[in-house]
Amino acid sequence: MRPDPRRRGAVLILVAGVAALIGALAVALLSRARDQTAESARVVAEAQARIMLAAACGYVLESGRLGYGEIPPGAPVQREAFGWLDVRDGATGPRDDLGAALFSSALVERSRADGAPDRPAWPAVGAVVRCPMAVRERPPFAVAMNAAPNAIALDGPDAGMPYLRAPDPQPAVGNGWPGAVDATAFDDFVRGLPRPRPESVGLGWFRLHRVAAAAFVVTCGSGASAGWRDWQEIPDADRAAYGDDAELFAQLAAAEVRTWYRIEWSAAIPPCDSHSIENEAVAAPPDPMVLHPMNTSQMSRTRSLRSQARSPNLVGTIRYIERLASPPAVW
Amino acid sequence: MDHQTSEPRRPMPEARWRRAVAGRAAFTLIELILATAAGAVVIVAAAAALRVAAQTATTGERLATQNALIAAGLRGAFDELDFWTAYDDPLDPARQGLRYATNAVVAPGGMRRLGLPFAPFSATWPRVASADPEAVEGWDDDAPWDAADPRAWWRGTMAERLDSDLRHGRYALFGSCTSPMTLAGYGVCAPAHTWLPRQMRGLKDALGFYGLCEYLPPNAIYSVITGEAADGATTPGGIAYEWVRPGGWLANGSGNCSNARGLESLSFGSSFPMHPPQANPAWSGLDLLQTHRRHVLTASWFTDTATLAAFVDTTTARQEIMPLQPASWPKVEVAVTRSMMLRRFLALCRVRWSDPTTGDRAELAFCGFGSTLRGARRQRGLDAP
Repeated sequence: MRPDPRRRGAVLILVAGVAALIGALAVALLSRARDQTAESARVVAEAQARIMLAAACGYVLESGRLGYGEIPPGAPVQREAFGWLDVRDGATGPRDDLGAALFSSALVERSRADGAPDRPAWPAVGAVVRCPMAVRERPPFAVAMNAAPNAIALDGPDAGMPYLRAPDPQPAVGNGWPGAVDATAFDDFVRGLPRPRPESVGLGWFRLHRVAAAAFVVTCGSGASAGWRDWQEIPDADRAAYGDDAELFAQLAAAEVRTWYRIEWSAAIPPCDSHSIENEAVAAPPDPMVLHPMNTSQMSRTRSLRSQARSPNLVGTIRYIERLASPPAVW
Repeated sequence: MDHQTSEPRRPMPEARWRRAVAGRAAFTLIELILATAAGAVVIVAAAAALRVAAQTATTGERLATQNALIAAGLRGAFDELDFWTAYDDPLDPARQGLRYATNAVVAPGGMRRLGLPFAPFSATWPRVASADPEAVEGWDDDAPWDAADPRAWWRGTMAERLDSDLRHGRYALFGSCTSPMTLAGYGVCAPAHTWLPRQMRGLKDALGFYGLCEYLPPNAIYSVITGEAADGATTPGGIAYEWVRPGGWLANGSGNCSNARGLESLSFGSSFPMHPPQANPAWSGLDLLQTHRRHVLTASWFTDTATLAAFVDTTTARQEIMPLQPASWPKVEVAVTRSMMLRRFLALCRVRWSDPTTGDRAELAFCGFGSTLRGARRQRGLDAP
């Protein structure tokens, strides 16, 4: 009797079938994993956009008080400002110590590259500022990451002596210390290295539209659009960053998360608190009130001589944050 | 050379065929056993690989589902930070329990119009216009409370206490909820500044303590002078007990301070809660009115674990992601806890998940940053006069 030739490949066919099944499962698994990666990236993008909200609030708080400009070495000293609503008279700020406006309401910027100027320059009411948040190689006025330039010696002739021989802090830019100080490096210290760190480019940005004296619309974004609203807004000179390709920009904008908020600034900051220590003092003094100062290291749990530590809003406060369900007409 | 190829092919005789078959090498029994065993090993290995692959795919699918639900939970937490829908759902009147307002008698004091944090100002504290800026009543959402506006300046002495003899001055002469006001030794006086104390009192009654602290600027001094019986007993200087009495509802007992305090001192070791409407099913609207008007000692040196756990439980809004999902899917819950302590407004988000298949449980917790209560009320138009 002859063996049946059809049975000679049975094992091979069986194994090949199983291998095909395994392959199909692997492809499905990889495909699902890829979908999950995309979904996770979306969550990360939303978190990144929310970080930009905090950054925008910090920018509004500080820029209402700290003045404006690029601080080029040799330029006139920047004047301190007195808030988006001037704390002295309630006028629209920011204004300098002489009351002069640090902004102009002249229409000099275009909301469409091919249109006429229709909005003022930042920080006037109605103006817009974009803030791509790449990390600079070295920010202006960077100090060295040396927490203890005057560390107390453990041995030798200076052992235990708290000498303050070295400046504290010291600039991140080498200035020759402790030898002859080279003043020519001061410009580098002031300017920093504005070149963005490549790994931080295109991750997040915020954009502010000043809608009233102390109110702003914040647009938070996580992506590579750098805060440009649309292609029409981008001046010709800046379109090269996207290869002069409107389609590429549209894809980048569509891939990022954008959220809108309205916030309002207030000059108010927490007060120093007075506190009665009459029930804690061993012998109550005639006036048992003590001041709780701001951000000091003086603290005694036994006598309530505590400090209001970690006050993040010493240049104002955000009165409220309102998430806008849809983008406003102008932002 | 094979000469047979040139001859015509003939059928092989049967006898010769039998000899040929008998003489050809066939499978031996050992070969057959080995071949069968090798085939079996290959098939078993392939089957095992298929089984592992199937299990891997199943596990991957389960983890993918879990990841998707966790991602949905995170997005739910972000949405809750921004829109407060667990506290007040603008699209579902059945979930707007924090819009409750009523006339109630609260101690200390008499009948007042009280509201919960999402009660519209039009129902709790309607706007009363006046040509005199100091006499304007009700919330003005456009008022900037700027530092240069004398209406927004607090007038008093932070050293004045419950039992002070007023040697530092009688500040009711300058600012009070009540004008004109009869002051012992002075007769009928007309304090020039009434707007700020009325705003403070109005916010407290309309929103409760959490809302009061959030709406007032951070430099607010929590003390109000009044001459109205509904505000309850006062100090000799006219400060309503409600604002400064240590261990009362607003002011904690820290240091036994009975003087006007800033927000840091007012909330040192204690918290003002923001209860969701479903915090405790047994709570009525009146209960919620009261619980939103009481500080809770929450610092470790002031309280015990059970009190703190109850506080956290009743200030947490919970939402289950996909409550109608298949039973085998991981359960994901979003919990957002809101309160205020030590001048910090807390929005603690927790995304929890549990796997019914493996029994694994985990939680991702973070402090969020999004819409404030005022922002959430603005979204709903509740701050309109």
